[in-house]
Amino acid sequence: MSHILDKSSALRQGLVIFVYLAVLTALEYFVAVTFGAVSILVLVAVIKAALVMYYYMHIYKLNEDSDEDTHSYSYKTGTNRLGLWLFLLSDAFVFAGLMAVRINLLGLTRPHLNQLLGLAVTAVLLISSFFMNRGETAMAHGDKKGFITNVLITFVLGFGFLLGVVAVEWPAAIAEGLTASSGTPGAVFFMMTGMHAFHVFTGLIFLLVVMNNARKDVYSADQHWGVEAAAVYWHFVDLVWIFFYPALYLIGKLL
Amino acid sequence: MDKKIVWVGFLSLAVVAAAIMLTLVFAKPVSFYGTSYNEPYPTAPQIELIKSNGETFRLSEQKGKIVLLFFGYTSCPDVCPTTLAEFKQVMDGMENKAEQVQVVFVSVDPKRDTPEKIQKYVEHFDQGFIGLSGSMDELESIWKNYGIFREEVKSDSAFGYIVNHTARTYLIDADGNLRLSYGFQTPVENIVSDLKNLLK
Repeated sequence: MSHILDKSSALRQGLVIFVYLAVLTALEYFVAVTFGAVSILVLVAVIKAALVMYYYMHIYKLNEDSDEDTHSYSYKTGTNRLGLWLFLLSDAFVFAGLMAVRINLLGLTRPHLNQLLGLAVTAVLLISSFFMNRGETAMAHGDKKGFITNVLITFVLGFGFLLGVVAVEWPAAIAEGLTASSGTPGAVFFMMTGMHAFHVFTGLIFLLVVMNNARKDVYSADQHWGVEAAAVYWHFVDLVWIFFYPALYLIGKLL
Repeated sequence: MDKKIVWVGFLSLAVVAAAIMLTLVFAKPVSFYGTSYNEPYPTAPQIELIKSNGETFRLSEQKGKIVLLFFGYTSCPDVCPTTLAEFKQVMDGMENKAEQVQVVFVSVDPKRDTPEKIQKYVEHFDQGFIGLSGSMDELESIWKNYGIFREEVKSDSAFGYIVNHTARTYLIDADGNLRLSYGFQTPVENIVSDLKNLLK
């Protein structure tokens, strides 16, 4: 399978996927506020996850034939890619564990949270994924300036998400009496958002590192594994939120 | 544009749309055994009568509780005792939610029913029931508002006369709206099921 696209098609593809994700998110929110069918929310999350994993995280690249020369950059990228995905898989187990805890302890109920704020931070993270994809595409076509601009936007949006959760949502929840020690719903909420926010935080550091490297001309159109890794990691953080957002804000009856 | 990506989007939306339609078609809407009033539910006409203890009963003050409203009289030979006995079973069936349901029994025979007499009468069935009576004028407007038919009929019984009357039970929801009504001898478990659904 050939996935080499020219730059404008690649950018357009990223935009189309972003539109799909946005439409699905809006649909998800609509379903949740109207008749709240959990099965549909799960279905939408799975479809969104598949789109992100295929089009933004290029999971199919794991299947690429490796170079014969084991010292070549492309061969090393292949093994690096496998290593990154294995790491993401193990990290996913942490999040899956938190999800299992949430389902087990709260079932079809959810804590009282600010719905608009939840939707807003979700949108911000989704848009940041869109710009991350643009940044990676730019670097894959040797556009260093485009890369830095887009990753900078990604960074700002990611930082906005982090602030939205930690500096706005958390105090708002605490003001309503939902604290980490107020009972199971609070413990679940802070553990899930906290673990996720921590990953966003490390992702932001990752973005700073690749931006700095790009400034020093470390990457090229052919050799930019660091950029790909940062992008895949960033999309992974978004991927987790695709499941955490409905789990915390949309599924079940209000407690 | 790449055809595959168009198909991916189309398929994603089609799958979700199909799932939404299936859910809407096969989802079981809450169905009630009682006869439902049409939405928007009409506000239950006010009932304001003096209770046996001298306090004023106002139906509007029952908001937050579901009211089962029934009309009858203490000399009633058949329908009223049967219905009140069934309401007692309904209350037992509600278990820990019983306190969210209030049975109100309004007289159709003010000539013989005093507030004290009717209150004592309903307490034979359940201590929590409320029995109400008043003057003919007060009650006539209530009967009219609820569409209660009543007529006195001479009889040979020891009571002198009997009162034929509408035997429907009116369910007023926690918002004070007329929501459902039940015919005479609706099975107890059906009423309990409706009440539990409404209290969810």
